Amino acid sequence: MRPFWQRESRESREAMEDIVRRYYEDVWRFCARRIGPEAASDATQETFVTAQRRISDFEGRSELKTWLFGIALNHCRNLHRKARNEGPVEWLRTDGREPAIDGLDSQLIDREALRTALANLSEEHREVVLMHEIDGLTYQEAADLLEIPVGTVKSRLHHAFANLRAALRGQEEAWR
Amino acid sequence: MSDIREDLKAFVDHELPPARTDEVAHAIQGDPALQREVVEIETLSKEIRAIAPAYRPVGIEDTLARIGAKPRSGRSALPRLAWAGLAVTAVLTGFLVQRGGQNADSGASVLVRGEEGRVTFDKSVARDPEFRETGGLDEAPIESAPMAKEPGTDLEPSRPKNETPAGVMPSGEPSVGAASADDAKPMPTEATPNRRQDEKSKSVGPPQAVTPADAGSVAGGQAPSPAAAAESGPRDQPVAGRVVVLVDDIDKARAAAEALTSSLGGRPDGNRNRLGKNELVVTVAQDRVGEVVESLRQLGKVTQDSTPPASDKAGLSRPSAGGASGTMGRGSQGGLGGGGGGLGGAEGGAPGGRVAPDATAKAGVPVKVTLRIVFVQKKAPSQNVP
Repeated sequence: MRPFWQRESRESREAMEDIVRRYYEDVWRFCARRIGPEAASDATQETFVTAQRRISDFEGRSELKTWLFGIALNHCRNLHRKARNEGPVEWLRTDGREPAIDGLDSQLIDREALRTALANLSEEHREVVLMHEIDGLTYQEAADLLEIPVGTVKSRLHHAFANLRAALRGQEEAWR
Repeated sequence: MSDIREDLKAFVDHELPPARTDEVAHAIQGDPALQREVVEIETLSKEIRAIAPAYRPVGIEDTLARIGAKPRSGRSALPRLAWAGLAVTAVLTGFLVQRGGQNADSGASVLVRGEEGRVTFDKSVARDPEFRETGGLDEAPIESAPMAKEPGTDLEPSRPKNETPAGVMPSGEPSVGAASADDAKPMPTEATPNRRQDEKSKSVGPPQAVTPADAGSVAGGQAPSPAAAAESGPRDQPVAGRVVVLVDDIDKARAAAEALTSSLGGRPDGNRNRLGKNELVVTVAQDRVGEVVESLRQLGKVTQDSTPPASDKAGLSRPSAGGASGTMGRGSQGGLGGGGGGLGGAEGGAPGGRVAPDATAKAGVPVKVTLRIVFVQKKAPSQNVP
């Protein structure tokens, strides 16, 4: 029996609706974190339209969600490029409004400093951090998505975290 | 040691092979510096997840409509015509059968005339009261034929297509982002229709988002004021601010705060997994913020309250809490690891002015705002004794 996404006509359309209902939120958030919520709906819609057109090409060698994220990533990049946006998405741009929490004993990190540090990462490093830490992808899934070896993902994450820690230490020193 | 360090992040993420995991674990056990680094990496990882805004997706109906309508647009019109033809034939047949007994000799010639091979109705006959009594055309319109009931008919796209191409892939661009080499095929290589922004805003409404770690950073909005929009971006939801409460038992206080928020028509918000144990983000009607703050005072000592003044909240009057309007800077904020004054930064009233004063009910609809509640454990009594 053929996989549900390769079935024909109405059955296939219903299967696509199931896919949309199942993955819409994940794809939408994936897009929103990269291009902001205003453009996320467009990117998400284009992602599913593309997926519908190409679903017969999906061989099931990766998770369907990862495959959708791959399409979404391309749409996000295109929209980002068209909008001539420079730098990271809005939520990573700091504006000095978010000081650290006062009075807590736990070892929390100043979040504004963290945003700054994330924004200052190279795009390659930031992307793997987003994919693994926030989108919840495994190293392998991130590697599939970015079409890079899994070892490169591991290396980028290591260096990204080293840079973040160094940046946060620098901030800490500066405030003392 | 350096190669151990390079694997610490993967170790924390459980992404190392078992043998290597054992090696790294063994190395960490005997090295306090590595242990500290592991803690730092874990903390940093948690904080990164915490600052990510937990958006509330919108627009699924548009997407469903679009993917549902798509196959129809490419479908041949032949089946539709076939159904219509069948319907006409059925109506004619039924009519002729009924008329046959009464006007067996002339029925066909009266009702249906052959004109150059086309079947036409004699309207004068159709208007005949006797014709109407037979349950003729007026009562059995073609629209009632099966085609009109076919699933998906109501899934026509609700917005014009081909307005703004989005998703155009420059030719020759590598299909980065595909799940695999084969999956590179789905990458869009042609213009695909995009939605119109204005229609989207009508049908979908503004995206809503709540930052789990801090509702003050990003939030979706229902009716942010121009001032609020200018300050926090068009996607922001009015934010009531932040309240820090000193409590005896964080878990109990948090549960109680959730309950009271619900009792006031609000709801806990954000991704709880990404919130600290001592944090709670709630969405509540703006005019109930005062009541929420008042109720929080029943749970413990409110040491900071950066919600707007009572006049803005349109709720209960609220005595000014310590730090509510403070202007302390970030001088003592710390970085990773906290050390020393790591977290000592007083937030002062930083977010206090972020509620749009005019973001109140619009056309009678109460505006929802987000409120971040931070619970702080009271120190043991013995520590307070000199």
